Amino acid sequence: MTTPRKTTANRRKKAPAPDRAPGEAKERGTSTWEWAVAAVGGVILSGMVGYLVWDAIAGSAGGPPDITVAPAATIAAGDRYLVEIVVANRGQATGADVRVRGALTDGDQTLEESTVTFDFVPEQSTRRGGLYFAHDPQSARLSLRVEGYVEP
Amino acid sequence: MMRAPERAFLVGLGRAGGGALMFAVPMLMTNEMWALGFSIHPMRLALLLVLTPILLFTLAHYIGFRESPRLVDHLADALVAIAVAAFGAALFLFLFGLIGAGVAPGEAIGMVGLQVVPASMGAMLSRSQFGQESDREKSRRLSRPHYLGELFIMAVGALFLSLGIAPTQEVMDISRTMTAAHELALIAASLLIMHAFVYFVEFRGRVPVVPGTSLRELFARFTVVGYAVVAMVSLFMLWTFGRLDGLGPGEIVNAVIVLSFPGAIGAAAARLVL
Repeated sequence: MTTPRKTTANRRKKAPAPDRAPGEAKERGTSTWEWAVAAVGGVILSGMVGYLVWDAIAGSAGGPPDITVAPAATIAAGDRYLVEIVVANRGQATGADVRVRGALTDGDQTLEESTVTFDFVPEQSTRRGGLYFAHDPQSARLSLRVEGYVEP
Repeated sequence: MMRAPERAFLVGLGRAGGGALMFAVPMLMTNEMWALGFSIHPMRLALLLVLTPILLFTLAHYIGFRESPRLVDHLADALVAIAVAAFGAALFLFLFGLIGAGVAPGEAIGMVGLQVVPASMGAMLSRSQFGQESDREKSRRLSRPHYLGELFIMAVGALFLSLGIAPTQEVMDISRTMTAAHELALIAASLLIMHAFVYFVEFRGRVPVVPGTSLRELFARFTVVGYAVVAMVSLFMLWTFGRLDGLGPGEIVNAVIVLSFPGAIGAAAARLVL
C-alpha cells in the first residue's frame, strides 16, 4: 500500500502524457515494512480460517443451546429492587430471543413476576441483565428460569 | 527522522485505514452483521474469508494500483489490506463494547471476520478513490481489462453493495410482499439501470468506445451477462449468510431477485468508478 505522496504533484502536471515517465516511484516493489504488515495479515487470515474450519469440523456444529440463568446481585433501587442476572450458554448453538422469568414467592403464594428477553445468547458466552421487583427479594423466595429461545 | 519510503508506507496505511472505515462503517454498525458473527455457519464464513484475498488480488491485478509486473506485489497489497481491515474492525467492535468480556473467541472471530470482507475492499480501493484520479484513469485505459475482467469488476461491485444488505431481514420482507408482477418489474428496472450505466461507460465514460459496438451487442454482452453475474453473487451471499436455509425454490428466486437490485447498481457503478 505504498503511495509516495510527494510525487503526486509531479504526476498531476504530467497527466496528459500518455505514458508514465520511467523511474517514477509507483514502479517500486514491496518494501520490507510492507511485507511485515502483509505477513501479519496472512497470519490473521489463516488464523481465522483455521479456527472456523476447526470449529466447523470439531466444535459447535450440532447440539442445542444450553442456557442457564443465575442471580448476580440484589440492589435496592429507589422504591423497588433490582436483581442482576447472568445468562450463560454452555451449549453448542446460539439462542435468540431468550426469555428469562423471575418470580418471588412466599410459601404457596406468588408475590410477583418479572420477565426479560435477551436478543442473543451466543454459544459459550454470557450476557447480563436485570429484573425489577416491588417486593424485597431478600425477604421472599426468588426463582429464576429460562423459558425458551428461538434459533437465530 | 523517518526515511521517505517508510513515511510513504505509513501514509499508505493511514489511507488504507480510512478507506476500510469508510467502506465498513455501515456494516460495523448493523445489528445483523454482529448477530451473523455467531450464527453464521463457520465453514461458509471460512469460504468467504478464503475468497477475500483472491478477490483483492484479482482486483489489484485488473485495476493496477501500481504497475508492478510482479504478482507477489499484488499479493502483498491484498494481505496488507486484510491486516488493516482486521485491526480496524477489531478496534471499533471493541470500542462499541461488542467484543470483550463474556464474548467467546469464536463469536469475536466471526464478527471481525465478517467485517474484514468489506473493510479490506475499502482499504484496497482507498488508494484509487482518494487521489490520483488522472493517474488511475490512465493506467486503466492502458491496461483495459478483457471481457472476463470487466465481468469480475461487476461481480466485485455487486458483492460490495449487496454485502451489507444480504444479512438484513428486509430482503426477506420485501421478497414476501412482492407479487410475481412486482418481481418481473424489478428485474426490468435492474436491467434498465444496469444498461444505462453500461451505455454511459461505453459512450460517455472513460473506457474508450470499441468501434462498431451496437447497443444490442452491449445489452447482451454487459447488461444481460452482468445481471446473471449479479444474480450468482446474490445467491452466494444469501447462502453464505444462511438466509436460504429452509426456503423453497420459489422463495430463493424471490430473495435473489430482491438482492440483485442493489447488486445490479453496484455492478454497473463499479465499471464506472473503478
